[in-house]
Amino acid sequence: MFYLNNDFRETLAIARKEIQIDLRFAISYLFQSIVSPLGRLIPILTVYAATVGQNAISPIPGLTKETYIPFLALGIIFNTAWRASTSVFKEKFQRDKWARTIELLFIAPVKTPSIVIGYGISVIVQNIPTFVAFLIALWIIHPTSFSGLLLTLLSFILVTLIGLSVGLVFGGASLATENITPFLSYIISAFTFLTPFFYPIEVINKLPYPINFILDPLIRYNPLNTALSFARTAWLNNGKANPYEIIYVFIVTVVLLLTAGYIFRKIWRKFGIQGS
Amino acid sequence: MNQGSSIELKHLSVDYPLPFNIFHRKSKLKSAQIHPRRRFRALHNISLRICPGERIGIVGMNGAGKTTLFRTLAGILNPADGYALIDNQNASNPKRQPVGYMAAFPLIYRQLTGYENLRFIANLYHIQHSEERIMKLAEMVGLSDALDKYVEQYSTGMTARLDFARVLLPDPPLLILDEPFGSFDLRFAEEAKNIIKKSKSTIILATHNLEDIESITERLILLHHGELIRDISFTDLSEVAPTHVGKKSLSIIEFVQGLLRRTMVVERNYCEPIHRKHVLSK
Repeated sequence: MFYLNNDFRETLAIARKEIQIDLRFAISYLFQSIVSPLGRLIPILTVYAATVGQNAISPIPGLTKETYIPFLALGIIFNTAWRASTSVFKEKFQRDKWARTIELLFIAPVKTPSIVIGYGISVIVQNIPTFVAFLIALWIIHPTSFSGLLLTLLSFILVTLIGLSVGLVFGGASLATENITPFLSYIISAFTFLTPFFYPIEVINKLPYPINFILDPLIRYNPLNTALSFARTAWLNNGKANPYEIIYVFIVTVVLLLTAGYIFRKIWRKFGIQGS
Repeated sequence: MNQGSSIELKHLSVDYPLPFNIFHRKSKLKSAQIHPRRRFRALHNISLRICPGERIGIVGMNGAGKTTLFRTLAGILNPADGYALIDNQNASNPKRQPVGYMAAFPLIYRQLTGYENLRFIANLYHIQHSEERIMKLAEMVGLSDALDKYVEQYSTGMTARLDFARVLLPDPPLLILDEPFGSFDLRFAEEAKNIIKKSKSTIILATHNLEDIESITERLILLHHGELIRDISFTDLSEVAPTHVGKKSLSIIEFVQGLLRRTMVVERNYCEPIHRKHVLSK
């Protein structure tokens, strides 16, 4: 009989448990995965169709009528991954904290990386329907080469991992003390705003001084922006994109993962269900 | 078969933060338990040694610190001072021996089925041949036919039985049982007591039933306002404090009051001191 390595076994157990809980109401889960992102996309798509599509009334810098749909579709895929990965630990830990089932993880001889990776796998699985559905739609509207698809996938995974790193600190802090969670959610909102999921970076230059002067470097050096622009370029140019961009994102991802893992190990056992 | 865990508590204190509320009325908590930094000291300076395989009954009024002690031993709470060791390892160290903690509320995922809950625990504790063990335990607790139901469809008693199976699943050398029999029907409560009595594990039991203390345990610890007041080995509980008035059994409160009035503390033979080689390897 073949037995899995113990660490791998506990990681998969946590991932499977989370997916089973998510799929407890499967139709709701699938609708949330696919229909909710579509709901966020439609109003923006409507505005963009009126401004840069056929019979456009005014141009938006950085976008053309050929590119705005892939631009927005990739934006919504990455935005969905970012939102889900940053919130997953907080939502699941809070649920388990107040149901007190989180205590099972404190009691059991389970290692912290298994918990992190187990929950991480569950959020990646949760994002797969969105990714596949939007990618198929995008492929039909604006096909790309196989390398373009692979580079987009790589960039998507890195953005998810960056989101999980941020979410891990967020989730650990929400276990230790819930008072800090609003501040962390503002930081995540700020990062969401500073990432051009739904607007081209070129519009920043059109903003009045000094807003453009302040925002431009924040957006330009934001690794999420780099990952997103890399994926958009790779998709639209059939896999031709600047490799330094993805190397930069990869290094940031590794540093963030290690830092978040360290912080999480330090804080998550300062269990605050008593109100700290 | 496990041989039971040894436990050592040294000057163990555990704090909780007090509620922050500007409209809160003046606290009526015992002033000795209020820490200057607005923390409530739920356990204060507990030193205790428990030998492998020993069976301890813990008694005390509500709020005496029994559950806090259990949660600290289970690795859920961290000590403010002192330490808690299980087989020379910190209680919160994931590498320590498995602990079977049955809390006063079931630690069960209600969104999953009974089987999914037990399989999850089996994987977390790396149990080999887990399928056989799950089926055996399910039969033992009388849930063989209910394993494929969602736990939210279980009755309170069935949920408690599943929780009992969860605790026994890894065959832990330390069983911490916080009022475990309250939700069981009388027949299963007797079966559960027999299972516990046959176990070779170290057992720490909190209960409000004197008969359970007498039939299962051999040593009694009294906690009062977070402090360890009595630590007594016994062969007959009535030697420790009155358990009956005439033919009428006393309640646990009356027993504890009787115990508090007595100054006698029965000497007991402690097991060999635990070597503190890996102490505080957090």
